[in-house]
This record gives sequence, structure tokens and C-alpha cells, in this order.
Amino acid sequence: MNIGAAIGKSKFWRRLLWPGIGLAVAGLSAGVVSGQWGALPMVLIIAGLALVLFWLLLVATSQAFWRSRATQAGTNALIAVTAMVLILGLLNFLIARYPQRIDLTENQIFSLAPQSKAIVQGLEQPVRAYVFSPTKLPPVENVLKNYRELNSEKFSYEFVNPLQQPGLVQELGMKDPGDVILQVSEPAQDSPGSPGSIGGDRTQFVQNIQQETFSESKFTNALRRLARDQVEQIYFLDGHGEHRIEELSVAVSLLQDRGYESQPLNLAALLNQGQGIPEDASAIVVAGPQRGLLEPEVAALKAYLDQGGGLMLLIDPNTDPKLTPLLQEWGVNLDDRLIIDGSGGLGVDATGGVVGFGPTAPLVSRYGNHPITADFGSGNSLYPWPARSTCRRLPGSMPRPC
Amino acid sequence: MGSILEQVATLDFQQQQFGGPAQPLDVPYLLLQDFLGVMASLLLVVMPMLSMGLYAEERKRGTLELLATSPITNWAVALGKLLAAVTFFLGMLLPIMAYEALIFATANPAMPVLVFLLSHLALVLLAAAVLSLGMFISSLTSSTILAAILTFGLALLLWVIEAVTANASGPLAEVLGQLSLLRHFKTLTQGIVDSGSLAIFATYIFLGIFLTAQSVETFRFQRS
Repeated sequence: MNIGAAIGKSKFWRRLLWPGIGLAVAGLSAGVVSGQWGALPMVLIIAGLALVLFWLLLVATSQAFWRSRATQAGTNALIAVTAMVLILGLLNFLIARYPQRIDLTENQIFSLAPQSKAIVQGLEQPVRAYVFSPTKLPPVENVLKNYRELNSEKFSYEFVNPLQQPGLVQELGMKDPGDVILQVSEPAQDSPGSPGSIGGDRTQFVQNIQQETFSESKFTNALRRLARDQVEQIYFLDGHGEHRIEELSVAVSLLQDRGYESQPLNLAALLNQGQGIPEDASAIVVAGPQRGLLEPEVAALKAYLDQGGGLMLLIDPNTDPKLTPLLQEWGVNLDDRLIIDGSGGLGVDATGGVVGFGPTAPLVSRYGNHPITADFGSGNSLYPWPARSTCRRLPGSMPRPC
Repeated sequence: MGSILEQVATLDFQQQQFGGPAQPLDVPYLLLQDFLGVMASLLLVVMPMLSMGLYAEERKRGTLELLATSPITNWAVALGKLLAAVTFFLGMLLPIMAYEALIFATANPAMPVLVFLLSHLALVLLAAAVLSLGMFISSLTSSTILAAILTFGLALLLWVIEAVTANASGPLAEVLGQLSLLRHFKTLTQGIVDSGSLAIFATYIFLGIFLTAQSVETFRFQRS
């Protein structure tokens, strides 16, 4: 009779154990998910624990419980299982912490190129990569993980949802969702006014992964640029009546924000000294030359272009910069006539049209289909004193001049 | 298959729009991954059906007592049952692999054999992991249907746990993501031999056998 009552009791309370565990788990997960240990999670956890304790007390007070071999076996099993789970968890933790990988794919597509490895291992300052994307992109993350594995002290990455962290968007200068931006933390002694600095940190735009696929080479190149601590140089050609750097201060300061240093370049003088275009030149700007360039200068620019350099030509009408041999190679023809915008609401009137610069500064909002203008969208831009140029696609020409 | 064609079309369109060199696309490789992805989702449903009867049926018929008191250890019995189920699965898989081999043999340039074998090893490991956990669940109940449903639920949980942690960061998300079967299955099918992934599969298989042995051990004394 007594034993029967005890069994009945224990069966009842044994069922009460599970709601207790359930409540405690619900409370724990509510707390973890919301990140706040407010009233609701705490009440759930306490209620669950109270039920479990109650069950333990009731069961423990019954004599039959302690005598049964089932209890002994159950306790043994519980301890063994707990120990085994702990051991396996630790083993897995260690293995996951120090992974060994063999890439069996033919082109080693999941391994980093040797150049990338060398650069990420040689990083001296901590670099953090920000991927502005609302969702994690597994292919991108896998590559970034590979970088991190090689040098987890100096390299880290983060996926940032631009809508959730507008502050970071501003700080790093994100333009479009999908931008990948690198940031290097400078040591404190560095001057805060260094080029492209944001509070002593330098940033480097890598690419937009929504417009093109993530490229390891671009990423590594950006890392290299940051690691070398080298600022990109843009040279403004001088010596033919071009606009001087001081006159272009707005452009120069904008470029500086993006990490480019602007410098004047008198090519004729350099050539006279037996030197050529500086090797660190990322691009050369020829801003409105009034007199023709010398032949050796044109040849030097041509050689520079052939090496993959960048050249920006701003040519005024009615001038002859003597660049024809260079331009012809690219299929571009200069025409020294001035463009006058006599169309639509921007028409020729005394007030100078919508913008007020007059008909010789046409407003442009459509740019055709070309990689250079691809990012312009339908933004407005003005071109004072525009000259006309025609261009045709040359058979077998490498890129697209127009 | 349709998605691969779509991908090719998108790449071609992008190339026409933005210029640049044509992007290569490894179609056999993508096909293999897509196919194995579908196979793996099917496993989720089929494997619980294979494992549901392993111990539940013994309980129902009352033959579990014989097994539990047999001169062979519980470990050996559990391992034997698991191996039997895995062998059955291999029997289902091998003809399909033969068909696949026929298709991939026509690929030009040839597909690396190691990737093919490794990705199917991943499939077998995944099946064995689900079977092993299913065997443990089956040893807890005498209802085969309940065992199948619980196994399916557990496998589904381990499957989607990565999706839950996909957009979270922090140590907890890392740990939970590490538990995901899907993540490690994907790593292996991509052709990467990752020690962490192999260890997780081995852990699940071992844990399943261990828990089964423990569960049968406690069963011996429950009727006292």
C-alpha cells in the first residue's frame, strides 16, 4: 500500500520534471535571443528551476528511490554522458580552433593565392574589413575566413547591415550597399591629419560585391596598398598653361579624402634631367593645356599608358595640345569647336539657364554605357567650355575608348 | 539544373553589359553540388525511416531484454546495427553514384575524381550521423513513428541551426554554427578536407553509439 502510493507519487512528479526543464530552457533562450535579462526570462528560469528542485526534493524523500538500482544506473549514465559530451565538445573546440585543410579542387579555388598569404601574414597594423551587406554571403565569408586564419591577430572582418549601423556607414564612407571597405588602425603617434584619415584610421575602398563578384586579387591589392602605407599619387601636368593645383583645390581636397595625394608634374623638366614619369603615379591629369605638349612628353605619356597608367585629359576648345598621335591610337579625335547647349529648359537666355552658367556649360545627366561613367547613374554634371571629340571603336583595340 | 542555366545566362548578360573578360563557370562542379544538396535534403526524410525501427521494434516485441543481456556488449550491438543501416544506405547510393559517374565522365575538362569521392563520402558521413542519432532516439521509445518524427526533428534542427546563426555574430553564434550539419556537409562537398568538419561528423556518429549503449544499459535496470 505504502509502496504503491510512493510509486504513484513518483510517477506523477516525474512528469513534472519536464515542464520544469522546458520552462528553464524557454527562459534561457528568451534571454539569449533578446540579449536582455529582463523580467520575463528571469521569471521563466526561476519557475523552471523551482519545479525541478521541487521534483528533486519529493523524489529524494522517498526511500525507494535511493534503494533502487535504476537510480544508480541512471546516475551513472547521466555522469558518463555529461563527461563524454564535455570531452567531445572540448576536442571539437580544439580541432575547430586549429583547423587543417586540404583543398582538393583543381584550381585551389578555396585556398588563397601565395601572394595573398604573404601579404596578410606580413600585415603590421591591425586591418579590419567591413562588408556592407544586410546578409552574410557564404562565398565571401569563406575567403575572408581564410585570410583571418592566416593572421587572426592583425586581420578581422565584419558584415555590417548598413541600415542598422548608419554611423559606421558615414564613418567609413560607404556609397552603395555591397561596398567592401578596409580600415587600418594607425598607431597613436601618427599625425591625425594624414591623408584619408578618419580619426587616425585610414580606409581603403575595395570593391562593390553587388555589382561584381568578390575578387581575391582586388582584396589583396587593397590590403597591399594599406600595408605599404603608401598613398596613391596623382600628378597634374604642368608647363603648358594648365590649371594649377591651387586652382583645383576642391578636386584636390576631395581626392585627398579618398586617399590620393595630388602633386604638380613638370614632365619636360623631368625628361630634361633624364627621368621619366614617376613610378608611383596612379594617374596623370592634364587640365586644360593652352600650349602644345612636346613630342618627348607625348611619347612618355604614351609609354605610361601602355604600362597600364591612367590619364585624364581636359581639353579646352580652340587649343591644340598636340596629343593627336596619342589619341589616335585610342580612336579619339579632337575637334576644336565649342559645344553650345541650345536645348530644352537650359536654353540660351540672358540669365544663363537653370544653372546660371550660360549655354557654354551644358548640363549632362545621361552618360551612355561605359565603365567609367557606370557609377554616375543619372546625376547631373556641368562641363564649362566643352570641346567636341569624336571617337570610334578601333578593330582589335583593347578596352573600350567610347 | 535550371539554376545553373540561369547563372550562365546572368553571367553572359553581365559580360555584355559591363565588358571585361568572360567569367568561367565550372558546370559539372556546380551540378555535383546542386545534386548533392538535393540528396542531402532527401536524406533528412529517408534516414529517420531507416533508423526508426533499430531499437524501437526490439522494445515493442520484447526482444530488447535479450539484446541487453546478451554476452556481446551494448556497444558492439549498437555499432552493428548502425553499420547495417549504413550498409543499406550505401546499397541505395551506389547505383546513383554509377549514374553520376556516367554523366561526369563526359565532362570536358575532366572532373577531379577526388572531389567526386570526397563529396560522396560527405553524404555517407551525413547519413551515418543522422542514423546514429536516430538509433539513439529509437532506443528511447517503443513507438517507431515517434522515433522517426523525433529523429527528423533533431536532424532538421541540426540542419537549419546555421540559418539561425547566419546573421548573428559572437561566440555563441560561432559555437551553434559549428554544430550545424549543413555547414560541414557543404564544406566537404566543395572539395575541402577540413579537419573540423570531419571531427564533427565523427562526433555525432560516436555520440549516437555511445548514447545508445548508455540508454540500453539503463534499460537493463529500469524493470527492477
